Amino acid sequence: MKALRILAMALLAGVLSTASFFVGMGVGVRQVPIPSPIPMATPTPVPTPEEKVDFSVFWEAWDILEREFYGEIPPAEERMYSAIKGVISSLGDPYTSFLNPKQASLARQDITGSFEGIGAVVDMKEGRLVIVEVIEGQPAEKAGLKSGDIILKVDDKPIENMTLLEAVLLIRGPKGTPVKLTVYREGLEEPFEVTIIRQRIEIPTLSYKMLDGKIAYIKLREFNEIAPKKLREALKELIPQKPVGIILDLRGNPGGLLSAAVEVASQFVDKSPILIEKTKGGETKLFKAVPGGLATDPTIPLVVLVNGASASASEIVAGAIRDHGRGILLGEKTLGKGSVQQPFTLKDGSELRVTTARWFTPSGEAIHGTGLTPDIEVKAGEGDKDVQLEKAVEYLLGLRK
Amino acid sequence: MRKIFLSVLLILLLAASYGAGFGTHWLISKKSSPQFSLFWEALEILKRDFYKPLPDDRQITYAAIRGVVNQLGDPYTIFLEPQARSLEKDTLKGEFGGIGAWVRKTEDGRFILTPMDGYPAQRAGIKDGDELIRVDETNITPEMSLDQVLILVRGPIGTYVNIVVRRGGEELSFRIRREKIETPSVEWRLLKPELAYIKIATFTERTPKELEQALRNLQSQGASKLVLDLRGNPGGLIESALRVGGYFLKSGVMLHERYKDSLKSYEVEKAPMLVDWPMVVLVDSGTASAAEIVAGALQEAGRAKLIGERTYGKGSVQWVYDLSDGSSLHVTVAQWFTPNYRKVEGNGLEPDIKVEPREGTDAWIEEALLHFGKGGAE
Repeated sequence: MKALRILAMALLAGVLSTASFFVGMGVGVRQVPIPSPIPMATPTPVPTPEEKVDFSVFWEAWDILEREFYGEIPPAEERMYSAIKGVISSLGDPYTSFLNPKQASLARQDITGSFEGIGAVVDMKEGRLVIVEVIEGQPAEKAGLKSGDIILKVDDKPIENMTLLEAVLLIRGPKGTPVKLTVYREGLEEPFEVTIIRQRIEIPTLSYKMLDGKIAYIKLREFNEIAPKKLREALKELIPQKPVGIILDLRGNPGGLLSAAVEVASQFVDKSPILIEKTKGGETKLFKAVPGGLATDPTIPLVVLVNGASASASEIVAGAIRDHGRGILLGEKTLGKGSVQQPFTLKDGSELRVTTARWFTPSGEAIHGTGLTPDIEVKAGEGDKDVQLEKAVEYLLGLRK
Repeated sequence: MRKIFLSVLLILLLAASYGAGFGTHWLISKKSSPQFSLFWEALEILKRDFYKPLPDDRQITYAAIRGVVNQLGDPYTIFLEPQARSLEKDTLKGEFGGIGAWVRKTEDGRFILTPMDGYPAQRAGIKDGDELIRVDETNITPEMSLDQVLILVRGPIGTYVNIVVRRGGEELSFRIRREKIETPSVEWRLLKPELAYIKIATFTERTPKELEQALRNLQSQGASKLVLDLRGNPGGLIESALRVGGYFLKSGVMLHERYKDSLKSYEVEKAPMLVDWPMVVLVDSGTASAAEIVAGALQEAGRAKLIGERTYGKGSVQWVYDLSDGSSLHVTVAQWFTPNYRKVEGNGLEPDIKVEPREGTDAWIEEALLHFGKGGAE
């Protein structure tokens, strides 16, 4: 029957006079005529949204693969998921992603803020999964990973072509279980492998202290639901001590909730807007400062510490403080992730996270892509010495003279 | 079974006649598939809420196909857009209608021409270093790919293309008639009296004809022994390889193909000429696919010894399906085996005489000369 088919196809090829070949990376090829969709099981019609895309070429390809592919062909459902992922990857936005039902339920467990993983902040840069920060005392740091390392494989699965979320979900997993990473580090000739035991990662949202009894230092690690409350508590304790300046440390802060960003910024800035959000049609939404900020007094100078791992909500806060003249930015250029993802749960429990808007600082500077350049650039020092913090203290003390 | 197949064939033929309408018919019923409705749901959301406009429908369709194809994890099952497909056809054919100029893209996105000696571009006055800025009605921009530009310049033999180039500060226009540009796949020479050398770089449609020309020419020069060089040959058309086999083998099996549900064997194809010269085949780790078919068949028939390194080991067969809009799908549909059922995929072919590369000399050729020298002495 197969032989007959080849003959018949050859005949058809003659009719259509389409010669088909291939060359290139060592491939043997035969000539085949134009195929057409061949009926599979008759699908049951169900009402669907009116579809205007002419998708016939897709079905041609779908049917050919199903009929002819020599290897194992995944179930139709997974192939459909792959079609969705294919479309998403053509959008050129690493933050828009698709999660199948299993991945989606994993991701939903994560909204509490704590999770089980290795304790590293990662981002997708030009299609590569880069560690932007390893959190002190967490498994990733103990295993010797450093910021700037590029993760090539997770449990031997190549990261290439994955979205950020897909990659993150691979790294995370139940505490006590091992995950093997294949890592590239600049300067090393070959990638190395490291196996890390996952742990429950609980990061204190906020910590604070008085430096030399004069400068209030606040480190904010993420913008979760409790961040604004924690900040107000800290300020209530710090401001009465009459600091000569405030340092807000947003280094390594990957962001979080938009509402938290607005409230945090409002503790320092009483002018509006805090940020500008632009959606598809060029529609603009202004976010106003929340009244009652505890550290808006301009006589207490403010320095915001930022670096390449300060992202998203961190950049909103930094941008608002800088643009309204409330304080300066010190450190290194921020990451440049100024986009908003909205999750949509699909019929079968899978989830689509769509970048729906972009953020701009009050002066209209796009946060996305470029990142914010600090007013005073200071590179991170070697070893334990925190040069950036030292410079910030120096700056604030200098203002006083 | 057979009946079902015939009806399938009927549908194929109908599709050929009424392509568009037929495609639409299936579009309607398939899109309603309950499984696939999720795809439309996702697409609706993206269209409505993604922060910037989506690519056009065609690009969306291609992206969806790529998603499905990539998931299969087979490096040889790939999707090609119409332009890439068209260039690929040219390559396999070994000729196309063009102006005879190399085009390269610079890092800053300019397209620079280098005319080939004796071809239309040079005769029309195109100079090395001319920057292409316009082809017919299309302005050339840095955003364009090399493929896109090549497609614009190429066209049917005998047609004209209007080209504007920038040379110094000047813009110059040329109207150039496209001619047949050939990309030969076979080269040959005499290594020494009676000992012929033929290199097949790739297996295109033209290769058997070129080979015949080479053999006849060498024969007239008195050749009676042959070194066939298949080093670095990545393969190409299987049909071409079968025909090439016919110049050296009288009969027998060239290869077996195992499909999902069947096995098929291919006999040597009788060629207009059969040479019985003693021969050796030079192979290396870049000898792949169709080249391995030829090498394997000659080796197993006792027709030639393989000299060199273990070959690449590409033992899968792709069919190329042209889709209705000019794009195409390469699908791995079978594995092939040598006449003695050796599995080539992942294994390659073991040479009869091993050769290590040596600095400053072609160790393969030396080994071949040694082989024939010895043969002569015996």
